[in-house]
Amino acid sequence: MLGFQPAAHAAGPDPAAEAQSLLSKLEAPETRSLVQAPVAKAKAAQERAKSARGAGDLQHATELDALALTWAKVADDLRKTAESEKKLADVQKAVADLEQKAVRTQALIEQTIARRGRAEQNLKNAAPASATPGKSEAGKPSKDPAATQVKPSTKAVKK
Amino acid sequence: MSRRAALSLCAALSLGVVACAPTPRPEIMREVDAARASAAVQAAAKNAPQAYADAELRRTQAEAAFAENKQVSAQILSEQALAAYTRATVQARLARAQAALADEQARLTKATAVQADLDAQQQRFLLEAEALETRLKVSQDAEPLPVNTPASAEREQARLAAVKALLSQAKLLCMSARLLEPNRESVGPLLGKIEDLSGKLRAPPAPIDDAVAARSGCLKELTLARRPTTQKNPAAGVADALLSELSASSLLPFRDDRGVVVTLRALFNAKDQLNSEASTQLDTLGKVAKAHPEFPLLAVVHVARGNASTRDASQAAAIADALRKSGAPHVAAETAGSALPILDPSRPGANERNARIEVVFISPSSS
Repeated sequence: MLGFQPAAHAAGPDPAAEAQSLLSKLEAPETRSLVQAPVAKAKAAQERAKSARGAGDLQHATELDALALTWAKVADDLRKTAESEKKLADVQKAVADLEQKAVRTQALIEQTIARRGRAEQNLKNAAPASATPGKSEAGKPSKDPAATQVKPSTKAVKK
Repeated sequence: MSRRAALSLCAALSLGVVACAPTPRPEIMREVDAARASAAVQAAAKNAPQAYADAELRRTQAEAAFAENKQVSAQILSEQALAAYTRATVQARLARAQAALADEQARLTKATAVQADLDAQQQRFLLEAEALETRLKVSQDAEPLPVNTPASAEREQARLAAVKALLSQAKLLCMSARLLEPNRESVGPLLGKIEDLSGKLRAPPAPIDDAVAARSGCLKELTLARRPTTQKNPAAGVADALLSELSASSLLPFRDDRGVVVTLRALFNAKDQLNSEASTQLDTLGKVAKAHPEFPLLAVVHVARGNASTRDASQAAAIADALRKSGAPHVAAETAGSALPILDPSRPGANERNARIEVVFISPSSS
């Protein structure tokens, strides 16, 4: 849960300076459009505070400074929220991509298991065939089925 | 009462009525009430309770100011309350985003682990499938070896020489495998079979097919003994490196199935003792072996004529001792008789070439 933000009017020693500092940070072009409305309200409150101060109405000037600070904080929170939501969207996309990839990998695994099974079966089928007695130089069958010699593959010969 | 007095009374009464009428509630306070009742703010009361409490405090202060007839303060404090309710809704949104982000990051971590596991499984199954396919291809490409039937006496004589050579090679290959992996169980039966076959060489027919099978079996054992090292670092090229090092020492090494071979001649004097030049050469080889402990040494005595004798065996033992003294950690010695000549023994000068000592650095890897 978010930490408690003290009331603007009870905030730091100089709410006007704090508001100004926050508003300066929010001038960045990438956030300007996002926080346009609360920043405009904060600036309007600052103007009103200035007028009140000019007229010697210090109490209302102070209240208006606190109002400006509150809107500035709204704008800052909006910026933080947008950042978090963007990060959230990025992570959600990464998760979705990974989950899709996992589905594809799972399918690939099943294909590979099937391929392995086929190879295993073919090898079993080939074993009796390779054990079929070969013709000897005298035309007689070989006694030892394992007595075979590997001929170089075409690929190996090409290399 | 005069008309003037009546008008004055009416005016006074009107002023009194106006002065006693309640002050109208500012529009901003109604906006605050409406905002407070909205679903977004009610949700914020749960997700951002502290920001909501701050807004409530300001609203209360605005109400108090209004009750005290402080219109301007009521207006400004209401605006503050409206801003604070807005802030509460934003903070609630932020809290939801952060909570969702934490959940998604946990899902991402889990999905990454699952994917890594699946990738490992896929890799393993693929390797297994490829290995089976390779075996199948080998099996399909294999051609049966012809069986050698008894032949003419002259041909049998030639086969006998070939069998001796094959059995000698088989024994040296099996010994090499045993040097690399002393506990390799399948080597023992092969060496036993070689001994049996060696005993059958007196009368024809020469067991040429069995000798070929024995040599193939020993070569297979050597390859299998090397496999773990080869798989650990397939591109190491350790034997090539050793070959280069020995070549630099002018020892004229060469490579065969066993590893890197250095051929030495005339190592013994008339008293069957190692001469000084031989000691120097063996010392050099022993030091190289010490620097490369992964290469065990096999010293093989070849003679020009006849079978291996006890003299050959004692020479082989002396060579092995000399190599050990120079630091070679693993040395075995063997005699091969005249089974593996370099030149046809009937050719002039063949004896000098065929009588030799081979010091073999058994390669621990196929790379």
